[in-house]
This record gives sequence, C-alpha cells and structure tokens, in this order.
Amino acid sequence: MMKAVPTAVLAIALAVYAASGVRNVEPDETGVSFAFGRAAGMLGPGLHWTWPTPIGRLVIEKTATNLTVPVGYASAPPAIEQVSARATDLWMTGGSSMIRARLDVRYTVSDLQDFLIRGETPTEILRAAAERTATRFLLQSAVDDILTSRRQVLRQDIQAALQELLDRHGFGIQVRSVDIVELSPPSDGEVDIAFQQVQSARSDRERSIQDALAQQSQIVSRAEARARELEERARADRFARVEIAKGEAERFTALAREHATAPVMTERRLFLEKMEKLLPRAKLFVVEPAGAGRVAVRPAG
Amino acid sequence: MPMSARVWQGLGAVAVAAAVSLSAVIVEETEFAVVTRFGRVTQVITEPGLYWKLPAPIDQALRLDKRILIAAVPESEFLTSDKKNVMVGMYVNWRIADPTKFLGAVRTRQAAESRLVALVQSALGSALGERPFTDFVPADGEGAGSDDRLGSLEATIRNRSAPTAEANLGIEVVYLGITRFNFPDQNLVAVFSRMRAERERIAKAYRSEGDAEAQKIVAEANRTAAETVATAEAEASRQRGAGEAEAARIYAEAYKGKEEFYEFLRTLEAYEQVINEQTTLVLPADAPILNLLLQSNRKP
Repeated sequence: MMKAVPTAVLAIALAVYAASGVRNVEPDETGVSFAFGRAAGMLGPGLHWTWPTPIGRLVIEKTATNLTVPVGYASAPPAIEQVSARATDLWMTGGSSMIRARLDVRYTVSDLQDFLIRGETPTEILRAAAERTATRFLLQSAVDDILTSRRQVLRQDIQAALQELLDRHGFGIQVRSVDIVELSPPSDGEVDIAFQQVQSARSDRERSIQDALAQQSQIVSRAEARARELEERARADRFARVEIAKGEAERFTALAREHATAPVMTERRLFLEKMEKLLPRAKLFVVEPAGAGRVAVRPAG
Repeated sequence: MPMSARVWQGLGAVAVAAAVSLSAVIVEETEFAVVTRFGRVTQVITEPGLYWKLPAPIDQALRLDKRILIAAVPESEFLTSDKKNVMVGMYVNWRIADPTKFLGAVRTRQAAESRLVALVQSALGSALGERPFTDFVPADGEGAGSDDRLGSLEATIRNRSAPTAEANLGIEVVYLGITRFNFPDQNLVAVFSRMRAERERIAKAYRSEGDAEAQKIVAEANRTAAETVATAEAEASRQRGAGEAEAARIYAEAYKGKEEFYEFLRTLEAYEQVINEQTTLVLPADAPILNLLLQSNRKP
C-alpha cells in the first residue's frame, strides 16, 4: 500500500512528461527535432512526438512564407547586431559614377536544419552576401546600362550569384527573387535632373528627326508634282506641235492640189493676197522709169 | 529504522541525480564542447550528442560556437596606388577551426573578432594600395561584367589573412566579401558634379546629333527633289524633240515633190518679215507689181 503511492506518482509523472513531447507542426511550418543535442530530422506538418526537454527539443519555424531582407536601406530601425546597416543607398558603378539602389531580397528557408545549424545569423549573412553581390555587379556595369538595358539582367545576375554564394556553405536559404525597390540616378547635386535632361535631349533628337522626315516627304512630293507637271506640259506641247504640223501640211497639200490644176492663177492669187495684206503697212515710192524726174508718192495706209 | 532507510534512499537518489547532471554534457549541433580539468584541456568534443565527464568542479565543459559566424569589417578609408580615396567595408564569415588554439589565443569571440577584423583590414589596405583605382573600377565603356575585379581583390585579401588567422587564432576564414566600395563623403560633391557635367555633355551630343541628322535628311530630300525635277525636264525635252521630229517628218512628207511651190509659199511668208511699218518701198512706175496693185486697188 505504502509502496504503491510513489509508483503511481512516478507513472503519472512519466506519462505527463511523455505527453509534453507531442507537438503540432502547422502546414506552413517545418520542425527540426534534436535529441541529446543531435539533429534527429526534419518534420513536416502534422502531429509529432519528440523527446521533451531536457533530453530533446523541437524547433518549429515558418518555412513556406517568403521573407524579405532589404539591401541598401533599412526597412525598420537597424538592430544592434546588424552587420552593415548602410548609412546611404548610394553605390559606385563602373566609370566611377554613383547610383541610388535599394533592393529587396525575397527568400524562403529551404532547409530548416541547415538554416538553424550552419550559420549563427543566416539572415545577416544573407544580407551581407546580397550587399556584396550588389556592390560587385553595380561596380562592373556602366551607369547607363544599369538604368536601361541591364536593369533586368542585373536582378537575375545578383540572384544567381547570391544563391551560389549561399549554397557554397549550405545555409538552407533559397533566394526567390531580387526585386528592385529603387534604381535611379542620385538626386544629390541635381544629378537626377541632368539625367532627365539627357532623356529630353534624346526625345528632342527624335523630334528633330521626325520633323526632318516630315519635311523630307513634303519636299519630295512637291518635287514629284512639279516633275509631273513639266512632263505633262511637254507631252501637251508635243501633241500640239504635231497637230499644227498636220494642219499646215493638210493646208499645204490642199493648196498644192489647187496649184497643180492652175499654177499661174494660184500663184498670182496668193501673191496678190499677200501683197494686199502687206503693202498697206509700208511707205511706197513710185519713180518714173529710166530716170524721169517726177515722183508720185502714194502714202502708206 | 524503515524511516531512516527511506531518507537514505531519497538522499541517494538526489545524489545520483546531481552527479548525473554534473557529469552529463549534451553537445548541440551548433557547438563544440571543450572539457577542461582544472583548467587543462582534456577533451574536445566536435560531434553533437550526450557525453560524460567527471562532475564539476573537477571537469568543466566550455562551449564554443561551431557555426559560421559573421563579423563586420567597418567601412574605412583607403588609398589606392594612384592616391585615390575609397571607402571599403567588408564582412567575414568565419568559424572556430581549432578550439584548443582558439581558446589559447583569444578565448572570447569579441577578442577573436577584433583580431580577425584587424588582420583583414590590414590585408585590405595593402591590397588596395598596391594597385591603381582603375584596377578595381572599370572605366566607362569597358566591357561590363567581363571580369570580376572585386572578386580578385577579395581573393588577395583572403590569401593574405586566412593562413595567419588559421595559424595564430585557430580561426578558419570561410568567406570574406566586400560589401561596400564607395567614394568618401567628402569626395561625393566632386563626383556628382562630374556626373552632371557628363550628362550635360551627352545631352548636348544628342541635340547636335539630332540637328545634324535633320539637316542631312533635308539636304538629301532637296537633292532627291532636284534630281526628280531634272529628270522630268530631260523627259520634257525629249517629248518636245520627238514632237519637232514628227512635225518635221509630216512637213517633209507634205512638201515632197512640191518643193518649188513650197519655196514660193515660203517666200510669201518671208515678205511678212520684210515688209512692215518701217519699210519704205521704192518702185519704178512700170513695175509689174505696181500694176497689179493698182489693178487690185481699182477692182472694188
């Protein structure tokens, strides 16, 4: 009787202790159980029993959600342990220019066990690695390329290099994307305004060219109209010339036919008609033949 | 005496529990355990699990972090070989490679990091000072992303600091990277004004490019227009020439065999040119033409 009591108490205590090892892992979570300090495997969603403290422990973290590490700026006041909270978001580019860049690195924990074991502060390591990768790629590219053609390539390059760097030491982090929050010329010293002026100069150039092209088509079409007009007029002249020739030829042929039947009469008639027309215009002096002194004047008209 | 036996039993159990708790060492995945006996290292446990030692205070278990740690090398100003100032910041991923050596050399993480940072920083300074600025920063127009200049700088720094850290501090430099490579603040004003001047030059170039292009287009248009008109004029001349030729052929055909009559008519036409208001005709009274005229005058 006296011995049964402590045994029952012991049994209940053991049962309670054992029951405290039951834990639920939610669908968006992963658990890692440790027994005597040794990792005993990762647990997916569901009910699990693991060794309770002090023998074992179970660490559960959300692993399905995307987490974000800001690069080039602090989304919240920097924690004391933060390794390199940048004072500014200015970065050097190729050609010794400066650019303002802020990136968000989105990641998920792909291997919680590695994530918990390999690094002391994996997110800080991720941030530092992301800054390192961004510094390197921005420094390698010209500022114009960064702002235009290489903008998207830059994201992919940074993501790939960053992932490679993280995988090298197995931090259990999967980088999902590198998003550009800001990537622009610095506003300091009106540099951004100067960049805008380049843009507007570029569109001015386009406009000059467009204007010139409009002018070009006007000049060309005007010249073509003029050319058509010249050619048409020449064709008309040619037609007229030939028609006149035909008319005159017909008239001549008609006269010639008349002349063939009565040559003397026709010639005389033609001559007289002409003289009748012409002589009234001229002054006419009639002198006596063989030097006789008198002169009869018949005034013209 | 049964009560006394219970007490002894109970005391025995407590003593065993105390001995177990003082002797058991649970080593986590993230740590090394260094067991010391009166300060002398007797055992270094590098694998996680349950281990036993003599109970404290005879054996003490000291735990050291086995994970990859991160240390910041704060941004500082350096000079390149061509006397350009740069602000460079780094980070170092490191871990304890040799716990015994680590304990002997630095003991605490804080001390370790300050030694490590100093080591890396001096390697950084000397590596920067050996090469000109353009070895690290490509000039505009140089191939983008063609070579990893910072990568080779990082490799140099690593090669110069990692062996010392390993040998002297028991630290492995896992990775080190440059997180920041900038101009010092006091140089930024000059950099910004240079950038602005550069942009202004580019803007001007665009504008004059636009003007030149526009002028070229208009000039070409004018040339094309002149060519079109000239071609048309040539065609017009050809047309007129063809007209003349055809007319000539028509005349020639009509006059063929009637040359004398044609000459006669042509002479009559010529009189039109000869006789006008300025013409004075002097004719002898017996000129046949006068006779004709007088007759014709008299006719009506």
